[in-house]
Amino acid sequence: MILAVLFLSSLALTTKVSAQTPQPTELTRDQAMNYPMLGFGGCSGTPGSSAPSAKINGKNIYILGDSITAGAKDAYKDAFKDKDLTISARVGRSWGTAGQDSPANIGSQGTGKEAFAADTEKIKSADAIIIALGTNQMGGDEASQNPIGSIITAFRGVNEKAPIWWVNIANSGVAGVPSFNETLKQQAGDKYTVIDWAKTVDPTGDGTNNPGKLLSTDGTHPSSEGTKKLVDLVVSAVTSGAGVQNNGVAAGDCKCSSGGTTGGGDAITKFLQALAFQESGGQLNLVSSGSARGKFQYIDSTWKGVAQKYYPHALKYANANGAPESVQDALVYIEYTDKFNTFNGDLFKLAVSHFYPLANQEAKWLDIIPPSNVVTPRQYAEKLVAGYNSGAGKEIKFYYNDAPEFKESLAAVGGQTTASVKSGEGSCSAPGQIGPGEAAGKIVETALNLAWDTKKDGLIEEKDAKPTYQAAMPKFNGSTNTTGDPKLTPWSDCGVFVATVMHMSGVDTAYPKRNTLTQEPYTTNSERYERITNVTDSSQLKPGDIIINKHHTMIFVGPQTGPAGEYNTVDASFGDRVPGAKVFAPHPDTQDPDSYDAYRIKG
Amino acid sequence: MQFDGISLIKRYKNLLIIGAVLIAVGLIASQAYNYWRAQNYAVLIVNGSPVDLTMQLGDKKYKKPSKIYVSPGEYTLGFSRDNFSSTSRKVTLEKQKTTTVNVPLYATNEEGEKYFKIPANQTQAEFVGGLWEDETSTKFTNDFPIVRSLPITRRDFIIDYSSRGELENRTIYIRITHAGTLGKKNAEDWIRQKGYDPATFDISYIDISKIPIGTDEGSGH
Repeated sequence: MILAVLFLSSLALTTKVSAQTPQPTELTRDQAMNYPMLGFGGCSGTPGSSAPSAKINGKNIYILGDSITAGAKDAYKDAFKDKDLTISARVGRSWGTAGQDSPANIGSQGTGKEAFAADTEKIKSADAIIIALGTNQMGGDEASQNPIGSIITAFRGVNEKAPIWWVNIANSGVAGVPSFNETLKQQAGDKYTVIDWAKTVDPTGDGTNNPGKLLSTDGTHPSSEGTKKLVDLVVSAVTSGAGVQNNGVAAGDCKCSSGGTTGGGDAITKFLQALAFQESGGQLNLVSSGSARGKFQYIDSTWKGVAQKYYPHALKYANANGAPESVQDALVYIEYTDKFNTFNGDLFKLAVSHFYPLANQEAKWLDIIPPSNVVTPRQYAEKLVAGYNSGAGKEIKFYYNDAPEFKESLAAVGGQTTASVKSGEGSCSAPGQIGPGEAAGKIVETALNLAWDTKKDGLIEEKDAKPTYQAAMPKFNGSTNTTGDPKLTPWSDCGVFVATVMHMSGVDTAYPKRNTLTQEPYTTNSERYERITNVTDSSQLKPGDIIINKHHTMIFVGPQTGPAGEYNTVDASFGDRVPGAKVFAPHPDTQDPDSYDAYRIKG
Repeated sequence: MQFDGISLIKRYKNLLIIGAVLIAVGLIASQAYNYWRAQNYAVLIVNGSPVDLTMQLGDKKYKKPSKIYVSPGEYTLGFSRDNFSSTSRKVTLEKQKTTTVNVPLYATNEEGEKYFKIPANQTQAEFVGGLWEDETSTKFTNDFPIVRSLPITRRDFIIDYSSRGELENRTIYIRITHAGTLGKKNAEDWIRQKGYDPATFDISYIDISKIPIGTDEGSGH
């Protein structure tokens, strides 16, 4: 009797839940794709600021460059071996000067203008034009040696249709480079697309020249690693529209859209890594409630529907669990290549579309937990965006290139890929972020950029700090050792580190530059921060939170993996170590009656 | 009467020899004592904020303790200073080993707050605060390694934890929010995959599929 009552009660509860929540189906997914950009939970990007969807449509590529292009000519030939490539590059060249003779030179010689004249027929038939001038006699006005406007006008005069890319200059240590790059960006409009080589070399934009050793010792020409990176960036831009900036919206090393197979590092891959991390932790055969299966937890009916729409080869498998990893990867990659376009890079909506697409159509479903799940679509999407911002799942690999018919199916949606950077000028983590996640993402990105991914016990000197921090701290903080105690170096000061991150990221340039006893009341009294008191529960923290008590402060960056294992926080410890990785496990601090608090930036 | 250096040495030769011998004996004795002490005592290093706190060790009080040689054994150390919170710490001191305790005390009134307005005191507080946080985090994650991986959210389960208690006897409570029995199984499987036995934890389960929407049920342990 009791069992019967319990059973009926349980049934009643289940019925109640079901009555309030629709069942997820592939139909709602498809519907969701037809309702882009609804007015909730959206991205803070500016419509119209995104890059045009420039990508090559044909085989003929023309490159006009100087010594940097000359040095990379073999890498270009290799990368574009399936294209008809013409390179004209000469050491020391600008548009108005010829430079020097060199064995490295290739193609038509003379000034840039002379090479242009000699190659008119090639340029006329080009399907893609790449200009890589500016290093020599840079200048942005018509009278100077590299008059951007005149050069573009000349190219457009002989070829009206081919997209044009211009590779900017990566040498921020040279006076004039930043202004040339800025002019290049401002004049771009819809005339050409800037390939942001400068940002790849100097991701922080703080003038830290060559932190990734992408330039050779002369600070101008790419190293062998840099040459590879430069060519990858150009190839990615030309073939997929990735890695570009336009109209002041910078992408740098973040490849913010994709239709190509570049993998690793582009926005789609980063999104899918966070998605796989959240859905399965990268497990191939996980089965969850509601028949969600596989690396990306496709419900069986959704798997079938997505396969029919995007990747028919996957129909050979009844569900995600039965498919090889390469096929699971291929299906999700093609689907999100298209969806990045549909949702214009809005990560929140992309996340909702994977979890519960109906909530992208009707906002009321955002805050209701669907059957067989434990979070609402809003919670799911916010967590996924936070994961994206903190690089969750970055160790997860994709094997879509090994999947049969992948390239063909991808090509079928490739023409529609116009995903672009949505907001956050100068921030690699910016594309598609939503409101609060944008600032938090910048904090996380900057903190990870400045801190080692290991703990550096006992290392307190400038030389011990990560090179990016060596460059950034004096510029964005400037603290020195005023204590008289040689071990209390500013390089190991926790408050200096957090302040440097806040200033350099641009999130809070009023943040007190040192001293937790000053920073703690500042964050407490500032309306810009949400305060989470007494952090003793693991669910209280989000990536980008500043953890602080009266005597110590840290930045929570979310799950990360370093050479020594997992970590979630970066900090410095005064007199003990320079900024690096650590695990902060929320716990009561019995010494401090207030324990640790977290401060979350709003907006 | 003239005294040059050589004649002075000659005159006080015996005294000088005795002095030198005494110094040598003193140095040797000092070294021997240091060696004997290092072999037979434990070393306790105290990083305190305020630096001039008082430490109670058994019957003895130490003002502004830094490096102390102590007989090996288990101790409860008391730390206090006017205008600051007091605290105690249990330590096991072993012969020939150095044990460091990091002790940040917190101001309990305005006088205490004033103390931290002095830059040198601020920097000492941050020095000790950073070390203390490292010490507690390291101990906590060593005691409960699973916390390194929490919280974890999957489609049909969430695992997180809360913690209670003093440093020496801290406990954690695992909370599993799951959708149905499969969600519960997946959560427990995840714990096993991490190398732990779910049965060894104090776990509260919340089956979200059985909770009517809009109630406050399932709000945690």
